[in-house]
Amino acid sequence: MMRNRFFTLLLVSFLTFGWILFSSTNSTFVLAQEATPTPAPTASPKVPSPHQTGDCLGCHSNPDMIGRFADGTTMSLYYDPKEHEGSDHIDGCRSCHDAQHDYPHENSQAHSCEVCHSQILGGNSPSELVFDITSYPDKRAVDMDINASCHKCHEDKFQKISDSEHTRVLEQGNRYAPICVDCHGSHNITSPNEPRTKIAEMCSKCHMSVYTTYATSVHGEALATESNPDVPTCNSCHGSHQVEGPKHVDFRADSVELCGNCHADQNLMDQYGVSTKVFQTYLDDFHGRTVDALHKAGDVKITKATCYDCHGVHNIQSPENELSSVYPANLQETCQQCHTEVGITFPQAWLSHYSPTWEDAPLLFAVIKFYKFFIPAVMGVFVVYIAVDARRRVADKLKKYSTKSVETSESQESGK
Amino acid sequence: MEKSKAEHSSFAPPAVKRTIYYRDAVEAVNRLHVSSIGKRYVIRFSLGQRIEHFVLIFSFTVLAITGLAQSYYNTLPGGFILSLFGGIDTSRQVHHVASLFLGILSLYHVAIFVDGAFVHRRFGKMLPAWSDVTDAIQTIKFSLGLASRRPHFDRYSFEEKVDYWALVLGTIIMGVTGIIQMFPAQLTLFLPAGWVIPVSRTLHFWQAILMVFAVLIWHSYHAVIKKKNLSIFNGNMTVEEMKEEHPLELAYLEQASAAIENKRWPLEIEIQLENVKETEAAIQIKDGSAEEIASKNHIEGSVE
Repeated sequence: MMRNRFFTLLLVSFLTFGWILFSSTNSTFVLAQEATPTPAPTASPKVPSPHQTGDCLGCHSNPDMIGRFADGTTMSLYYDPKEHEGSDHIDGCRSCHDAQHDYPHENSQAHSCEVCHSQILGGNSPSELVFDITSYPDKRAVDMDINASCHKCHEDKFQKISDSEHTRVLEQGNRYAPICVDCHGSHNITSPNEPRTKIAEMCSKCHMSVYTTYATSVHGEALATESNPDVPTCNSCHGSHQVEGPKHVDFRADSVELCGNCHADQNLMDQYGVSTKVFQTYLDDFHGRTVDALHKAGDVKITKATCYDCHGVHNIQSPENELSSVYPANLQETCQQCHTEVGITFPQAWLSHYSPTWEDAPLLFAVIKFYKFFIPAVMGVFVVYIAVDARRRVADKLKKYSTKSVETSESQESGK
Repeated sequence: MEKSKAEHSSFAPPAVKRTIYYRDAVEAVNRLHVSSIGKRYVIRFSLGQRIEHFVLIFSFTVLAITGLAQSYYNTLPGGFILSLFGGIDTSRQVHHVASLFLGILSLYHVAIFVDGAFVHRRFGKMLPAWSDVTDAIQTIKFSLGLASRRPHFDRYSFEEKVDYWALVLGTIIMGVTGIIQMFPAQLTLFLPAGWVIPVSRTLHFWQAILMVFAVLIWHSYHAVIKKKNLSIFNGNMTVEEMKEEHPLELAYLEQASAAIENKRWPLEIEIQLENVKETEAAIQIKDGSAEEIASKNHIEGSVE
């Protein structure tokens, strides 16, 4: 009995302690305060802050808060909690703002009381609270520094992006090459493909001219107007993180398969009434066979036409659209990109991407049918004739041998 | 033996009559050749013809290998062969160079034919004739034991003619469709639009398959497997071989060469196949089944 009572007491005291502890914390947005506050990285003799109990939002919820860099440019230091609504990241500020987690920021040299408390100190309330930022040269440097913290969770994406064209541009010294936050946003990080149009719009921030072209193409239009889930958007072809430069040899070599992924998919193409024969007929013809053979042999220099050489890249249109580079009237010009002096009959001398039928191409159809019958027939006659002939010859030879051996044995016997 | 000869003559073909000129007799003399050790040969192919065949072997093989490898680039052997030639582009170039050889060879062959036909007025040995049909039927009958003997072939047997014409017609198709594919941009300026290129591609592929099979099956059987016939390489055929393969030609050569001393030309000769018959009868004696219908008495008489 004593023991039971003791445990009950212990439990009650625990619950009470817990209730006190939790009720004392600010449950609205617990960002800077974590259950076990980490000690300051360096035990530098610092004036104890009067805001020790305050959190990030204690200051950063003020819309007037502005940071000023050495070159005079400014950035808002205001954080709007609404931005974070619906975001996939609901961790605390410090999980990303790694370098800025100490309070008040030791790097910030202008955190004197007057900046905020001028009223208390007898001054006028400043309309803007301007803090000089000395630890970063400009806003881009802040972005890039904070961007590094994505690494902590998204290591795999970093691996991929490190091999991308964007990183290559970055390494060449262009600081405005896209980093995580440029595409994914910072506080308002949501799923990058919802809605799907977001992807192309994101890329358009830098690649505007390509975007405008794409938006008028058969793919882009379907994406914009009906939010089509099947049409390719930027990253369908270029990749998301491992963005490969379109001038990269591998991109060209892989491009046929890229188009084929969708255009050889019967189920997908049936929805739009697009022929899936395009892929196989391409592979059967001169260009496709060469490209595929080169690709299979590991040759990176693809010298023959791939899909996009004729159909266009971002401006792909349906072949029935007269803006299309493969619209019959435009074909001569398209072919002339490589075959400089061909006439109008040159493109007409092919069957496009259709396999022959009796109606479309009677001669070709007949030729195929004829040979498919003729070759087995002729070979059958040959084989039968040879079999009959060989049987007789072998039989003759065997008889000749046997009679010879009989004769020789007889003569030997008679000789004895 | 009197009985057997009389017996046999009923199965011999009607004597072949042929009008010959002095030059035919000279040619026959030249073609009947006796070697230094006294072995008798018939010169069957001239050096030019043998070189033609060498060039044909070379170009045909290269064309077939590089061509099929391009068509079947997706398979393991196809890919391997393409890589041997240094990729599909160089394979194609090799294919074009080999086709140039075959093209020149074909033109040469046509030139020789034109020279023979219109200058020397001598042709027709290779042309298909009705006798080829009867020869074929008789060969099959003999193989099945329904005829007493093989037909007496002249210069070219119907088997050789099939071989030759398959190659010639095939090469014409391959050449035309190949040239269309080689210069599509230039030729489409003249050719009817719409079907020329795909039909050429398709014909070229299927005809290639047909020709490769024909060579592998028909030619290899008749020239190598059935009986190793090296005359296209060394130009000669022994008289013994001629008796079996081309008895009619041998008989003709012997009689034409014998007529060399003749003073009046042209001369009509009647080709006798007596020698041939005897050798053949000797073989047929051993074969009972085939002779049952034909000459049972003759066999029995001979064995006795």
